[in-house]
Amino acid sequence: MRRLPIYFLIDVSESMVGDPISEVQDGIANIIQELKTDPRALETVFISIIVFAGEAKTLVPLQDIISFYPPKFPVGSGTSLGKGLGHLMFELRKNLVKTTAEQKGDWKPIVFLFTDGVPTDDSSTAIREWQSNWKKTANLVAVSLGDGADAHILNQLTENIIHLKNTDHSAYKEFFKWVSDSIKTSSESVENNKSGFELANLASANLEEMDVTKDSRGENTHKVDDNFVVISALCQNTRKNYLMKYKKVIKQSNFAGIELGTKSYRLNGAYQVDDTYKELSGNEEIKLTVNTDELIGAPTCPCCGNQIAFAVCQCNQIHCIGDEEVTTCPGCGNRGKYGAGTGGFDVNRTRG
Amino acid sequence: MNTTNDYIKKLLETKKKVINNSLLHEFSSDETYQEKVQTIIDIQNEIMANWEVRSRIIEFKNESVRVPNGTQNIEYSHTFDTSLIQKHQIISFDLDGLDELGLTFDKETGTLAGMPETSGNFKIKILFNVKGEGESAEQNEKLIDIVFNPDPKLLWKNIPSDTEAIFWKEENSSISDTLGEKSIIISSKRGRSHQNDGTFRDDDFAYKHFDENDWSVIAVSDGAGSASFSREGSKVACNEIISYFENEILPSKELDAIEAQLDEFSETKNETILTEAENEAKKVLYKAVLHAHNKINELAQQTFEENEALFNRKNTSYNAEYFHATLIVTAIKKTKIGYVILTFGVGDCPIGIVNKDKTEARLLNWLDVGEFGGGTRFITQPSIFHSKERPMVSRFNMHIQEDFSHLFLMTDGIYDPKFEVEANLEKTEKWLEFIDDLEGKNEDKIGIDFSAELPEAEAQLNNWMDFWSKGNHDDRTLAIIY
Ligand SMILES: [Zn+2]
Ligand SMILES: [Zn+2]
Repeated sequence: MRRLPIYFLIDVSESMVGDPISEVQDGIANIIQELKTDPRALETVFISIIVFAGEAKTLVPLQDIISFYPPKFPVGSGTSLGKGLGHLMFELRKNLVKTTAEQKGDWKPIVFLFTDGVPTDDSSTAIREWQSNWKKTANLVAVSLGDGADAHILNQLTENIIHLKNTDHSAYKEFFKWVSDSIKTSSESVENNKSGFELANLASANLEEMDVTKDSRGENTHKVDDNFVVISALCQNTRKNYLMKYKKVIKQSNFAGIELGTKSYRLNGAYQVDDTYKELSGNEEIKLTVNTDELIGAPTCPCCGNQIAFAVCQCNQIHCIGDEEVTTCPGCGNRGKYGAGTGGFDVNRTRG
Repeated sequence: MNTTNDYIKKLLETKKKVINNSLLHEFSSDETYQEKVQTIIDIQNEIMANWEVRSRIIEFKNESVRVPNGTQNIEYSHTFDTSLIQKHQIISFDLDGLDELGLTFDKETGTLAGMPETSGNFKIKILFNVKGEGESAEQNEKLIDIVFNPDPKLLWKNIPSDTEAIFWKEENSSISDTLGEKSIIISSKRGRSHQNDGTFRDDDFAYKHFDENDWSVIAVSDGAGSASFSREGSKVACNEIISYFENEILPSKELDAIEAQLDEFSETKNETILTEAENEAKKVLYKAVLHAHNKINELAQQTFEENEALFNRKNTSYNAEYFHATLIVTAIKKTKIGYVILTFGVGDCPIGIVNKDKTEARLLNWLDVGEFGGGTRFITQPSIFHSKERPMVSRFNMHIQEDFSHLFLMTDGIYDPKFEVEANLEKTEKWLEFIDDLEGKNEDKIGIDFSAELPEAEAQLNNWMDFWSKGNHDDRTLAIIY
């Protein structure tokens, strides 16, 4: 029997924290549920999930649908597409069964790459390796979740770039339906000795093929994902990491006849993250800041419920404070009193 | 006394007060303050203990607890790992929400077991208490996922094909007959894949024993899954081979001439005569094959003229592409030097023979195989007639064998699950295993009694053809001469 290996390479950078990651998590679970109703897919499709942020990691090793158990998705800091691709190629090399005189090999693997942002690393080496070793031996579909992805970079990997325009719940639902339909048509296609790669029709208004020529950003390498500001903090009481996520809003204003856009970031939510956060975050020092004047809204601590999640120690550690008189910084151990700050100040942000 | 002193001192330090030692002594000697400090310490201890309990509960709630997937209607059993219980200082552990899943939990052994009645993703509730919680404490709850897979065999549908459709074909077909001293049984069945989609059987076969000169001809063909009229392509290919033998080859006595040469060889052992006979035989078979090719072309042209709208696929260059089918042919006769077996093959269907003593098997044709399925060839392709890499002449073979136990013609629906790869077709032991399997040495203990009356053997073969093989649900056609 020949396997049809399906790889999901999923961006779990901090901008995915909150709704996007739970949509992806539920989406993958739904794909598996859906494929279980198709006897053909159930017998031939094998699935693996690789996640990447600053680092990459195999979340689910290649396995059949019967043994698949829905995983919990982690998040990390950074969008290292290079490391994600590198890890994918490592898994492909390790797992793919080649056809020889003695055995029937796998069908051509299909890779679904989901990303919501621009790479924060220099991915060119990994992209070149993909082009020379894998572009012909695997089918890759790149999916931009929302408007954040860089079509120019994705286009170097594949001609199949899909744009998920809306990122609300129903759009995600339609999108994952399309993914499972595409897997089904492909598993049917291999059986008919066709190429084994047939994407389902893009019947939804939320999905379209991405037009690379219309992406205006050009080929500059971006080092930070500017659609979101994500701030990493430590809970004073539980010493757990949490993330505060702000989404970019551009407010158009007209000043003396001149069109002006003011950029600010609106609070999206605060989320506790577990130990995999550190594991998946790149460890190089980053010095990116955002001025608190640009941030709208302040959350409570998602770990302990402290009223203020956004206090900054002189060591730059962001942490939560409650109504205690003396606060201990969970980063450096400094004790001190906090007063309300006046005016904006710069705080470290992550790469998203 | 000491405790009170330490406590008040620490408090003053925290409040950044200047400490007056005699005043501190006075305070810590005072019984009222000693009691108050003790109360504070007790309360603190209680808060700390509660904090620990709450933390344990939260930690366990965040722990990923996994249970293996089960399958509908297959006995399920899983024993929880006790290290998790120890790690989180769990003092009581129970499960809830099992009734509707058909499971029970044995608290003594920590085993979850039962017979899952339905398939799907479900939640079960862990009820637990951690160290430090009182006897009467309410149980804490944690939800975990449990997955019951459907039984894959039950998912395959069997939808009849549309009898009104163009080139409709019966879903299953079989025959049994005698071929001189030998018997033949053939069965061809629509694959589960086509049953599931309500589409047609693409395989086909035809055979005929010509009483007047004792030749038998058998043809088997597999229509390409990607070609919309391949079911008709395979049918026409097989039928036209038989009819060309009947209407052209036998009346022209060409086979008689070849047989005379073989008789001469059996006496003289003159190899030149054998080679001549072989070349003549290949020419005869070539004409039959070319005839079949041309007939499909004619049909394709005619169908196109009548139903142009059906020829709507992109990237096709000729109409016969809609009729793509592989073809294997065997013409066989018992002569003075033994059985003469002429074969032809295009595509990936094997012809194999096993000797009378069952000590040696041979593959009589070579297969067109390619890495990603695109490597196979079809009788409908003009290119096979003038290919340099795979010369047409090499597709023909003449084999002489004194006697044999079984001669097989099969499509890849049989060859894929039973032989898996081409290399195994070269191995005698694989063919002997295949015969064992046919005789009932298989999971279901379903076999063919080759000494039974023909209709019975035919029925047994039909039954055997339904074997289960994961991922192999193509049409199946098997012809056995024995
Ligand atoms: Zn906190
Ligand atoms: Zn600090």
